[in-house]
Amino acid sequence: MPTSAMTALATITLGSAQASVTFSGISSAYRDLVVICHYKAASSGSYPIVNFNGDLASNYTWVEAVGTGSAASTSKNAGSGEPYIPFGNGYLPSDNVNPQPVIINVLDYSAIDKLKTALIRANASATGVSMVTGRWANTAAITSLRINGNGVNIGSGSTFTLYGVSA
Amino acid sequence: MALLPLGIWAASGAGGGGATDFQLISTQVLTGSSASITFSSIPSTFRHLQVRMTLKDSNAGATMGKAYYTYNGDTGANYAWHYLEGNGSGMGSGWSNTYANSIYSVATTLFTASAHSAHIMEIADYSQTTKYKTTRILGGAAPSIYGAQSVSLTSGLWMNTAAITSLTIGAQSGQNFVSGCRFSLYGWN
Repeated sequence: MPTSAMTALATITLGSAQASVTFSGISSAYRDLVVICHYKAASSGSYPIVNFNGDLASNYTWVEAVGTGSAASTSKNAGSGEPYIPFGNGYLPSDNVNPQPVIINVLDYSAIDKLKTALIRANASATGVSMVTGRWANTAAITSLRINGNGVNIGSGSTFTLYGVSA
Repeated sequence: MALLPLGIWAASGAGGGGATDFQLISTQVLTGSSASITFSSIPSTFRHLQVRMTLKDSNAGATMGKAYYTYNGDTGANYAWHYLEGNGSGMGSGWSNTYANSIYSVATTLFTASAHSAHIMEIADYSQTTKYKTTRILGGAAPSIYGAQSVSLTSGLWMNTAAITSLTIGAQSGQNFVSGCRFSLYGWN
């Protein structure tokens, strides 16, 4: 009998604003991870960030391309690395009406012979659309994934679902 | 319904199921170098296809490479594509109509040995015989080589209404995909 190649592992729904959400104890049984977020910031003024396995050192490199409706621009990590992979085109909206979808793909997250590369798509109705690729310079399997509001709390009602993709 | 990667909604299966809406068809992981890989005998039983890839080509002289893909063995001038790319310093875009469609932001052997680029490719309505085939690819790499980062969106058109039964993905001319590259083909309903 055919089986699904995408398995829902966990869902987090915020009943109140908080600084971050973390998926921990992630099984290494899959090939890729997907996090589907419906994201609302508790207030404006920052952009969310993602980290793996509790690593908050400057072990991340990234590049972003953004379209705001009036301009297209691109930015990248400073120097040799930063302590996170950002997403959200400046910031994601803080209104209660329009939380925005964010999809984070991490391919080969459990492959211990590869550094980890994430692909992120984010939309923000107030600011535009963005695509980000980021790399975590570690070959360890990802066992935890943290999304942090980066100085601005993640808003109540935001949802995050983690999937494992088999290969 | 479930929101699948890159924002495509998948209807639940009949009878309240949905457990088989997204299925692995085939995975290839290179154990040596290869100029290309092919998925053949792709069944027509799904609605859309998705390919998830981690790539690196053998070009040691470039900070970022490209790859190509063709359908059903067609190497005629039946393809057209556009791309949008950001590299942290400037935005790039372009288009072409030619003998294959392109994949941007491919890692090269200039990268650290364990570093690859990541790509998600989606083909909507691949088995419909009334439509030309359109493809969307999100890809990127952010190596430690400062200034070599790249993230891109690519769209591709194959001007043929035949159902896709095979997909060939190849490294750019003169190069090979290196050992460790992974190609996973999924069908979803």
